Amino acid sequence: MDSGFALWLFAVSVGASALGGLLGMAGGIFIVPILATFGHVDIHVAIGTSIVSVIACSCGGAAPFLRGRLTNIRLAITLETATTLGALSGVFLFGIIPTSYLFFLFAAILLLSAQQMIARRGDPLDASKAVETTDRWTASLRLDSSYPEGALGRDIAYRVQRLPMGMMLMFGAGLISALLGIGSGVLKIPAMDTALRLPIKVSAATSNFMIGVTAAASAGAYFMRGDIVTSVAAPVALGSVVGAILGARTLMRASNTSIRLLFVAVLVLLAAQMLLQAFGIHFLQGRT
Amino acid sequence: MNRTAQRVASLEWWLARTLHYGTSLASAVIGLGLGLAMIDSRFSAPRLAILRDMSIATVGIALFILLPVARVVVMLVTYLRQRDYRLGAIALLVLTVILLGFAVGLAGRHRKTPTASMQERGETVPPHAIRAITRSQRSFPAALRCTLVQREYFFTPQSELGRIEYEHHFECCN
Repeated sequence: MDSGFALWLFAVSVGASALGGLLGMAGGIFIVPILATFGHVDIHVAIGTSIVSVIACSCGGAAPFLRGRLTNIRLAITLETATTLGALSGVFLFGIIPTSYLFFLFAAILLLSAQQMIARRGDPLDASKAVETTDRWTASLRLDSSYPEGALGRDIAYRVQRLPMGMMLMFGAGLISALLGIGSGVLKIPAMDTALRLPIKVSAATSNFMIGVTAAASAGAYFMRGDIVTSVAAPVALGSVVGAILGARTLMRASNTSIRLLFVAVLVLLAAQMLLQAFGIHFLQGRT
Repeated sequence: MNRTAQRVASLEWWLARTLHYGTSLASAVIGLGLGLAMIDSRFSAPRLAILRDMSIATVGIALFILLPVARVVVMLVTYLRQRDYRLGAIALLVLTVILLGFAVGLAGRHRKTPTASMQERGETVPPHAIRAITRSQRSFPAALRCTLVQREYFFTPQSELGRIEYEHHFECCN
């Protein structure tokens, strides 16, 4: 047991998931590039580690959302059929895809996240009035629900729309999640925005709830296969729980715009580093 | 309607409770495992059965992975008790897919260490990374397998955990 390395891992994951928690994401998107580039951990090991940390973040963060009745559990379990199947497909692809492609794909996802950070999300609230057609799947599963809006002091009802399209997008999100070891909230939340047209608060809470179950499907496979290295994953999991709690606390105080800018900078930097690595250039050496 | 709402609220309450206590338990187990392993390495105490390297921390990680599964089980039971068979069937499907994932992992266990594949690609690995990778074989299922096959595995001195010893050990395990 290398204590120094374990402490470094712990500190990095506290930082990563606190930073992620500030904007309601899991820290996986930071943990994989940092471990792979600065920690010199094999990318497959980094991904296995990150998927455990994603579960830790999701489980630690879900309870407040559930108590606040923001999570649409019925919708979550329905969409989880698609995400877990996607995760299973990702597990099959994991061993086949060459390492450089993984770096490349990761860089693309990082840039996509940065782009989403810049483009602020608008609440598709008007949609509930605009499109009144409920599809039969939504009706038969009783997915429509309501959530308490603090500012108005009453419950707001919403409709779930275009479920089949949402399921397809969720399959993709699950696949990427398993392949890259991230929660892929970055893919789930737009899917919920554009296809299902959920209110922001509901989509964030439901996505967080789904991430854990999606990650469990791939983490279970990696764990049984021996891809998850305990001496790396244990400090990271512990750090992620601590970081998620810290991040959630700070969320109340920090100003939004400055965090976003910090985020975009970090994401672009990591994306550049991953791209360099994809082409086999080791530019930043970091920890040796 | 009011009764349904109450039931749903109770499901949310149960899920929140499961997640809260599950997270605390898994973190505590990982913390304990890491702490013991660190003490173990610092003072190089004689190896007691309980300090088998990282096996306690591995159990903690397994707990974390099982936590979402427990969550789906809670949902399945609740929906069946509410006689909401459609959602029950969906929960069962999700559970099946997750368990299928476990089965796929078990079937595709590594026959080759990650270290070996990295060396084939000509990548250089710093010592701590090799040590980290070496431990992958000390994951819980691997350890269990080795216990069944060869008991000596756990008693190999730490200092000898090198690649060569490793490959030897690995042959034993297969």
